[in-house]
Formats: sequence, C-alpha cells, structure tokens
Amino acid sequence: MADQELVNTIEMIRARDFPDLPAELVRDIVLVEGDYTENRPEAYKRVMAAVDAYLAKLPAEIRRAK
Amino acid sequence: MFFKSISLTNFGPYKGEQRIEFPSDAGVSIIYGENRRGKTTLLNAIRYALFGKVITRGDRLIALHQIGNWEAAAEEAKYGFKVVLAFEHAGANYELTREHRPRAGVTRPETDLDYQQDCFLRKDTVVLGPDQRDVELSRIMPETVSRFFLFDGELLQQYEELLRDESEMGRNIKVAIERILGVPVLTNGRADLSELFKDAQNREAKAAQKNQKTQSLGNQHEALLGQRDSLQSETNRLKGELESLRASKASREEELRKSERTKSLLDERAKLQSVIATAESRLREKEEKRSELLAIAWKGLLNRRIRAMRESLEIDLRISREDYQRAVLAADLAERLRKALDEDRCGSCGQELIGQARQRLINTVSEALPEGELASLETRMQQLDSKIVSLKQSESPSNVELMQEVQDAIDERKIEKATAEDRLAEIKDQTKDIDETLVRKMYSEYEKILVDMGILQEGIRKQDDALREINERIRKVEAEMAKFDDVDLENARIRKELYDRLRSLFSVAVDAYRDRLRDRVERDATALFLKLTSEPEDKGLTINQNYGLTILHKDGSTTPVRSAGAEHIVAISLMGALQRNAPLRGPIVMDSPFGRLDREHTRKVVETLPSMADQVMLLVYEAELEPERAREELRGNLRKEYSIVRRSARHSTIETIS
Repeated sequence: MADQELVNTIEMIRARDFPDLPAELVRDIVLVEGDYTENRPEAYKRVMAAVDAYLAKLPAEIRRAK
Repeated sequence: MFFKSISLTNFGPYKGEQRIEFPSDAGVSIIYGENRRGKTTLLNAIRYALFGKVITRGDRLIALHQIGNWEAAAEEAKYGFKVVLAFEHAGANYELTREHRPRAGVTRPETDLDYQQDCFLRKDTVVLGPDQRDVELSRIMPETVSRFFLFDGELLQQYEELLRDESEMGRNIKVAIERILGVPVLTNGRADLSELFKDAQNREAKAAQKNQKTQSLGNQHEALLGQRDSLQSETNRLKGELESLRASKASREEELRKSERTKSLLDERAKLQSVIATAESRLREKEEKRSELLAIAWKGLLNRRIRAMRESLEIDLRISREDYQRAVLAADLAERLRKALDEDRCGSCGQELIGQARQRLINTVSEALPEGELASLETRMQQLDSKIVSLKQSESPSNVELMQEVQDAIDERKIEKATAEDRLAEIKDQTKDIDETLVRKMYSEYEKILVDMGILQEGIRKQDDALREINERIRKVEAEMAKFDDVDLENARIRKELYDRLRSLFSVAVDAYRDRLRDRVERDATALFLKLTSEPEDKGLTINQNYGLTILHKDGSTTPVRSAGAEHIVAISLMGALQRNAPLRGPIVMDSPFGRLDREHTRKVVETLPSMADQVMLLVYEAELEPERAREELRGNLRKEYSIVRRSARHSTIETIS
C-alpha cells in the first residue's frame, strides 16, 4: 500500500522535472509497487502491463511526434 | 490491522485453549504476569500466527517442537499447538489459524521434522489459497517490519546500531525502517523500470535487425548490449563481494571489540615479559657492580679514621697558614725597622733616631721573627698538604653511599620484577583458555579485509568507467538507428525512452522521498522525545543517514554516549515517529518495555502510548508498572486488563481483571 505522502512526493517531482511523463501512469506504477512490495515478480509484470497499456492507448500521431 | 482476539492451544505454558478477546475500541490493554508465566510466549504466539516462527529475547529462533505445552504432552500425550488470530484490516475480517501437529504415523514427536504445519487465512467468509494467503499476509504485516510492532526491551536496544556505519545489524534495521516507511515502493519501482528499460533496448535491437537497412546497426546494438550486461553483471558481482566484505568487516569489528579486552591482556602480557627481561638484565648489572664494590669494601672500614686524621691535619694546615701570614707581615715590619736603624732616621716621619727611640727600635728588631722561621713554616705547610693529599687518596670517599645506591637499585629492580611477575601470573591465569593464535589471526584477517576492500573498490571503479564508455557507444548506435523511418523501430524507441524517463523520475524521487522522510522522522521523534525525557537541557534529536538518532543538548552539542535508559527513550521516540509516518499501521505489542526506565520516564512513556498506535498491548510485571498507577496514568485510554495466572510451573491461564 502506497502512502499518500509518497504519491504526492513523486507527483511533485514529475510535474516539476518530468512534465512529459503522464501523471496517471506514474501513479499507477507507484500503486502497483505499493501493493506488491513483497511480491516482486508480480510487481514487475504489472508495471510492464501498465506501460504497455499506456503505449497501446497512445495515438499514432503522438507516437510519431515523439 | 486491528487485533480482535487470539486463541492459544497448548502453546508454551498455556495448556488447553486460552482465549483473549481484545477491546474493539482504540486504546491500551495491559496483560500482567510475573516472570516465567508466559508474557514473552504470548508475544511469540502472535509472531507464530503471523510468520510461523518463534524467537527468544535477542532474536534467536526457537525450534518449534519445543513450543508445545509440556504437561499436555506428558500427561495426556497431546503434542503440537495452535494459535488462531482474528483481526480486521481495511474493512475486512480475517481469521488466521496456524497449527503444528505431529505428522501422520508419529506418536511421539521429538524434532521439528516430526511435525507438520497447517496455516489457513479466512478473509470474511472465504478461505484463501496458500499463495493468496501469503500475499495477503505480507501486505498486511510484512515480517521485515514486525520489529516495529512486536518488540521487547532487548529489541529496543538494537536501534543504537543505526549510529554505527557499516554495522550489519544497523543496515538490516535501516532496511526495515525504510520498508515500514514505504521507500521500497520507489526503490523497487526504480529497479523494475531499469530492468524494463534494458528489455526495451533489446526489443529495439531486435526491431532494427528485422529491417535490412538497420540490420547491421541492430546487430551492433545487440552485441553492445550483451557486452554491457556482462560488464554490469561483473560489476554487480564485485559490488556484492564488496558488500559482503563490508559485512565481514563490521562483524570482525564487533568481534574485535569483544576481544579488545583479550587483546589488551595479551599485549600487556607481552609488555610485562619485556619489563621482566629488562629488570633481570639491570639486576644482573647492579649485582655485578655490587660484587666489585664488595671486593674493596675493607677500605670503607678505615675510612672514618683516615677522615678524622685528614680533618685534624687540615686544621693544622689552616693554623700554619695563619701563622705563616702573620710571620710574613712581621718580617716585613722588621725589615723596615732595620732599614730605619741603618739610616738613623724614621721611615715614616723622616726625623733622626736618637736616644731612647733608637734603643726601643733595636729591642723590637731583636725580638722579631727568628731567623729561618718563615722557611720552617713553609716546610711544615708543604708536609701537611702532602699528608692531606695522601690521606685523601687513601680514603674511598663514596664507597658506602655507592654501595647503598647500588643496593637500592637492586631492591628497586627486584620489586619491579616481582610486581611484573605477579601481574603476569594473573594475566596468564585469565588468558589460559584463550587461543592466542585465534585472536592474532582475527586481527590479521581484519587487516586483510581492509586490503581486499581497497582492491575491490579499485576494480569497481574500473568497471564503472568501462560501463560508462560502452553506454556511450550504445547511445551513439541508438542515435544512428533513430535516423531511419521504421514503425516497429520507432515504437521500440518510444517504449525505451519512456522507461528511461520513468526510471530517471523514480531515481530522483527515491532521494527526495528519503530526505523528506528523514526530516519528518527527526521532527516527530524529537516531539515525542521532548515529551518523554526528564532532562530539561535536552533540546531534541538529530537524525543521520541511517535514521540513527542522537540526543541534542540545548547548547547545540550532541551526546555521543547515552545510558541504557536514554537509549530506550530514544528508541521509543523513533518507534513513535515511524508509526506516525508509516503507510503500514498495526497494533503495538510491547513485552516488558520499562525494565530500564525509572518511574518518571515510565510514567511519561505510559502517558504517550495511546498516541503511538490505535491498539497498544503491554505485557508487564506489576513491579514494572503498578496497576493503580497504570490506571491513573492512562485514564480513559486503558481499555482492558488481564492477568496471567500460574496453575503450575508449566501451566498458566489468562484471566480478565474486572
């Protein structure tokens, strides 16, 4: 379980130094790591799934622009 | 997590089934029990239910076949034991059952292997499967953080290790602290994203290999990634070895600290042996000198008489010299008078000598020094002088004193030698069972560890340089690949860059979050500490990189050494601060936590307990916390009191105090 303070800290850094990264994806990764701190293989799998899901939703034109 | 009840069957001294219903409201419950009644066992029953293990004070594991109730086994042939813990967590009701029972066919179990363990976790109405059960339990109460919830006085003492860099125990505690504070959420995230980034780089290489135009770059990329992974794995291996050497160094330091007394005894023994050897050599020298002196000691017997004679002659000489001086003056005067008579005129006034005056002068001159008197006096003086010199030579002036001096030195050396020999005998007795070679070996191994660490550090530095270089080459190849228009390659690149940015974000966040946590823990621990301390000159606590806390005096200086009581107060302050800042919450169960505290500090800790956690359970003996005082100090926060009652040496029951 991730602490709200932890979520807030990473969001603050994201917004300040990494504004190009999607807040929702970052938050999802933090929550996955919080929920599966004691189950590392599961956390790894779920983080990858979260990124895959994000990339799959990324419109082709934005993908091209990147 | 909030405990609702616990049921123990044949667990330790708890024969048959014993059940405690915990109050449903937040507050403090106290379980009183004298020594050897089962307070620590109760704490262990909770630990057993949650983690399947039982430990002694001081963290040693206890073999589980020793846990079952002795009377139940001996009298009723009932082996095994069971704990059922009911609790609430995140709105769900859980019932955790863990049981140790003899394996089928074993009638008289004697070792852990003769037992089998069953564990069931019911969440609301559903019994979870083993994997789900373990995941659920590790989410609710990971074992790594249990030290912050289930502890005794000994465990509190370990927090001082956080002040020692490179202490293995300190490092383990730091890991547990970061775990309870949620840091692994970010560090694990960083590690996962780094691995996923590498995976994305491999995908990019594969995508490039599929296109004829980029195939060669893809091959090159793949080869470089392979080289990098090998380098990285070797670097990790070296770092692992360095880490293990650091742990060895810390444990060696601990052993050296323990053997410091032995080492100092061995060093003192060597020093004493050298003192004895030196004393013996000096003693020999002085004894030789004494023999020489004894050979001429007869001279000493005449000394007094010779000295007396010499002194008498010296008096004669002095008198003779005075006589001689007077004679010289008289001769001079007579000479002048003779001259006046010859000239018939006074040498002073120049008047003519006439009549009676001339006769008086003639009489005076005739009565003057006899002829040859001066020469005789001179001869006598020379004789006396010569005799005195001769007597002085015959005297052995310091013979007795020298003899005394030599004897004193001999006595002194003998005393020095005897004292050293006494102490040496004591040390030999104290060190008779010590394997000296082992102690010396320990010191030389420690030196070797330091050398090996230096070599490894240099090796890691070179590996890091090589890694930087290969990463630069990878970056250049990737930049080349990016120039080609290929959808798959582009998708792979986007994925890789996303992971790269994400891992950078998590890296920055780890450092930032750690800094924030340290600030918050320091602030909250200080606030709690100032409530707990009775020393008015304490200003607060200061935190180090390992979350170790040091007392700050009001003049700004730190208190480097603290008493066991102060150590306890600081540890409780840290526990409170961690509880306030942890995403994980749970009941605190303290076993005899006031043993090192005076009455005033105990009162302050008791008053602070309700603010440390929603549910606090104290396992104490009455002399440690008197029930009347506990009621007064906890007031409305005291929820329930229990007493562990002795039925026999191996049978206790738990009763509620009404």
